[in-house]
Amino acid sequence: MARRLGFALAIGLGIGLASLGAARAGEAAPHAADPADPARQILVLLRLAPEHYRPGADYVGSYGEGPARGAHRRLASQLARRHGLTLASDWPLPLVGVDCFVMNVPAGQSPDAAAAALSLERGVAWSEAMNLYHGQGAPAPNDPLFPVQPAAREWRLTDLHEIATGRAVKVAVVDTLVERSHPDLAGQVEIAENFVGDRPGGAEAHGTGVAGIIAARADNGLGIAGVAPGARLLALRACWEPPASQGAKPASVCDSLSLAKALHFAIAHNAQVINLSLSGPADPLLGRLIDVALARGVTVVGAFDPGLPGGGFPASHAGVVAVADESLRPRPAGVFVAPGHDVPTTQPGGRWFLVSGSSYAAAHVSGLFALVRERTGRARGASALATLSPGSAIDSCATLLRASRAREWACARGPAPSAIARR
Amino acid sequence: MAAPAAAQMALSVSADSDDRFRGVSLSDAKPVVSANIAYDHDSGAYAGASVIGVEGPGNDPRVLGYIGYAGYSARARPGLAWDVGVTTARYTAPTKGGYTAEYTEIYAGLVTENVSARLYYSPDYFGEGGQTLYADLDGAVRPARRWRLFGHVGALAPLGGQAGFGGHRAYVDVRAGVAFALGRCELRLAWTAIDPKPYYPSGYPEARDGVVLGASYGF
Repeated sequence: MARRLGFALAIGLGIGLASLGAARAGEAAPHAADPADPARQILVLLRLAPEHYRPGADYVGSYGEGPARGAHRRLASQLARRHGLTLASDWPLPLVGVDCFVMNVPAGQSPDAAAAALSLERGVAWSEAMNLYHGQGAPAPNDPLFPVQPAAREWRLTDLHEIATGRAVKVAVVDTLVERSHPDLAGQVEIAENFVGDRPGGAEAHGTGVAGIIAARADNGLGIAGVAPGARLLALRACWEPPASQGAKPASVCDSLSLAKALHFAIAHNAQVINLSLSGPADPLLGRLIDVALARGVTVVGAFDPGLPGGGFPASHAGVVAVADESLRPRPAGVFVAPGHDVPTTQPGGRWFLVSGSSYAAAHVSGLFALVRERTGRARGASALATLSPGSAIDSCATLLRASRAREWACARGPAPSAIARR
Repeated sequence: MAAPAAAQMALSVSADSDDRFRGVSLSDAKPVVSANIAYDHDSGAYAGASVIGVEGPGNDPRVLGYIGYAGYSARARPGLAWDVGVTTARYTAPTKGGYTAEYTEIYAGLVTENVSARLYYSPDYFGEGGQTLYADLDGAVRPARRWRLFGHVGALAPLGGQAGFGGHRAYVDVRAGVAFALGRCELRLAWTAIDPKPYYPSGYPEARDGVVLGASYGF
């Protein structure tokens, strides 16, 4: 009895070792990752015989294992040789009654033609080319407030950032004092200047919020992602927050001289985009400075103020890109609409808060111009902006695609929501 | 040529520590080696044969017996197939004694992914001159990629009562085991038993509960 068991064990071990050797000799495991190009692969579906009685075999549900597997592999090898293909891997699919073999098609042969030829072979249920499928949307940055940023959805910020982040583009924020030390702005402010030195020096909400919308760090696990997280900010304090004692106060106040100093500085330091989230009366000095900037190819973005004639200055100044938030009704011609309602952004004290207003809509557009100017220096003014029709809401993807070389951008694939609507 | 390529011919060899058939050892508890061929046609027709070898007296290998089968199978719907066929076996006694164990059966069965059920009829089971019905149920599960657990229960009922079957109404045999697949090879370990133990005159194959170890290799 022991001898018989020993005999059986010896046979079993021998077969096991032989099989191990065969396995190591490079047989393709059914699920091995295929390094070949999927565009040059076809699937050959061999007919899988239905399970039936086999004397001596004490298993059911073979899933392509067992003796039939060897037969399939041989058939697949013969077919591959005959058609000049190489066998890559296989995977049985009993529920559709086929054993699926992957074959590589060499260069010079069309995968579709190879699949058509193989479909005619006996024993082949059918053959098809390997297809590729794309998920909708790139992975979003890990900034926790990203999902509630209007730009994330309305401007498809993730898709924009696949094309550009505003890398190395200088954006001048002419505003109240920006909190450079804010964690979401750390390292984003290249130069900070204070042109209202005799005012209190603490960081202020308006400027910090505008700066955050333009260039808050993306994917840092904190707060928001700026429209142009790669941009270099020139934080030019030309405005101040009025003291609390004044009732019904505006968010920021600036005067002609502080603004002139800031604009001069921005132009002299080669800012490519100047953000002026402020409005007031037309000013000849500031008008001349803006003209100099425009002549040098600088993009100047201004916030539209419906309470002032023509939207106020500098929005009404020729060549300045005038921006309002979505609540503006009616929409005058030449005014662009950008997200400006309940926008999460940075706040002094290392915090974040929600803001609304055309100041913040303008900040969005400054960020968008930073993205455009990373791709091309030629698009400067309002003509670079593409709008959705009808109305004047900006189509950010179309704007950026215009400035970029044609490629397989997610922006070009169309927004997911309208794809669902088409169904 | 397309014809031989499309004929899905499968070749394999296997070795088992005992040739157990429905709980009964046909090799007198001696290890056996078998070579098997199986053929599946596109239409659903199939056939196969095996030759079984055993260690003879004087330690020479000799042929113990042959098995042949042919049938037809089709899918009723994805995941459910049925098949009908006939199988025949011709064995000689493992030790010299002149007794031949042979049977021919027709069968019909249903197979799903994990379970199969089959009914067999033999007009002359093991040359006893008696008709029998055998019904069995087989199942398998795959807890992990290379592993399979299988089970089998079957019942043999002589029709019309024969003395050679010891007067019992039915014999129930069970088998349960585990299989491990490695490349083209499969290793199996199974426990098998039959109840009640059939009575056979001396020279007939003995029935014994036991563990069977087996291995097979597919070409």
